Amino acid sequence: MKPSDAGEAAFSESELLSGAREGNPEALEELVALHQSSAFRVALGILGGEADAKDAAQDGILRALKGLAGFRGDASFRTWLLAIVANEARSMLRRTARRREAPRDDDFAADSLTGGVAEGVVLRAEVARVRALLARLPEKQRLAVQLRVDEGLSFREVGDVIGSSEGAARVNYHHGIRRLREWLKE
Amino acid sequence: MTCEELADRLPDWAAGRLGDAESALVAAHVAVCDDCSAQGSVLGALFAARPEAPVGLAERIARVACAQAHAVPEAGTNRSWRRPAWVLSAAAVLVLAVGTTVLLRAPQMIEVVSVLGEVPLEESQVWIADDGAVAGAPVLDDLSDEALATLLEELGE
Repeated sequence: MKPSDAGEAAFSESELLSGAREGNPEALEELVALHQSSAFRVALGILGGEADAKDAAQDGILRALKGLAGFRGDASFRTWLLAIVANEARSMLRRTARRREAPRDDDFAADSLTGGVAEGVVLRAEVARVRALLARLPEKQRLAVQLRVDEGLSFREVGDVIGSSEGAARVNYHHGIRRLREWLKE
Repeated sequence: MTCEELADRLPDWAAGRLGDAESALVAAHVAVCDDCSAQGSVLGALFAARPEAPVGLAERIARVACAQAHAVPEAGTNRSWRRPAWVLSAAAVLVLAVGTTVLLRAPQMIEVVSVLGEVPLEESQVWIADDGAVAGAPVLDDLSDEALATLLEELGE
């Protein structure tokens, strides 16, 4: 596991999980810090609005931590957690019985970019535009692209989170990327 | 390396997740393949623009997680920015149970049986309106955490 939010982890994942099961505050804090951005992004991908995404990320992470005893380790903790967050976000969408919020163009303002190999190669405005276009993809394609690109999940893991086979996750990803490229040419 | 072989690795290359050797292999292909180069640019742009969690989210979640793990809330802290639904439900059931029992019985000592267990209450502890009817359930949504805790404490004593 490569930590994405808090730099190199001081403890292994199994140590953190073991500590979290015992209620160790440091382990709980580190687990939350490691996975909060991934959880937020997945929730945002489903719900579209930041306020709802924060709530769903919080509820999903808390639900996962509360149910750690049920984590068998068949998948990585992150994949398991993100599947729970995705379920939480979908439930919220159903509960509130409303459509996914359409992201505003300034939700992906170039000022908030986090850097990467494309920096300096692609114009910043274009970078922001790609993200805005991602939000317009159908949910499974959007999540497949997000989980593969943002989180670095394998297609099998992507399938675990979006509730599909590995093959279907791969197809959703490639369709999503193809459509994004077509839109960018328009 | 063919375009097909590269396609699955391109996101990891664009996000800088590959080791040096593999990254160099991908870069060598991308340098001579317009299609993979264009796709790599799109993937790089997506990764560069990925949103981060809002400031303060981790602290809020960790605080609630620690409180849940130890079931000892920190004094003076807001344990959750949203009151869990079960608290409202439990409070509503309790208030309803108290109200129903008072309507049906009028003893000096009232025993309320609710989902939370048997709760003996003195009549003076039950909210009764001036006309003798049991007051309606308070609007719990507007109660602060402290007020809700006080209400539950009073009903539980």
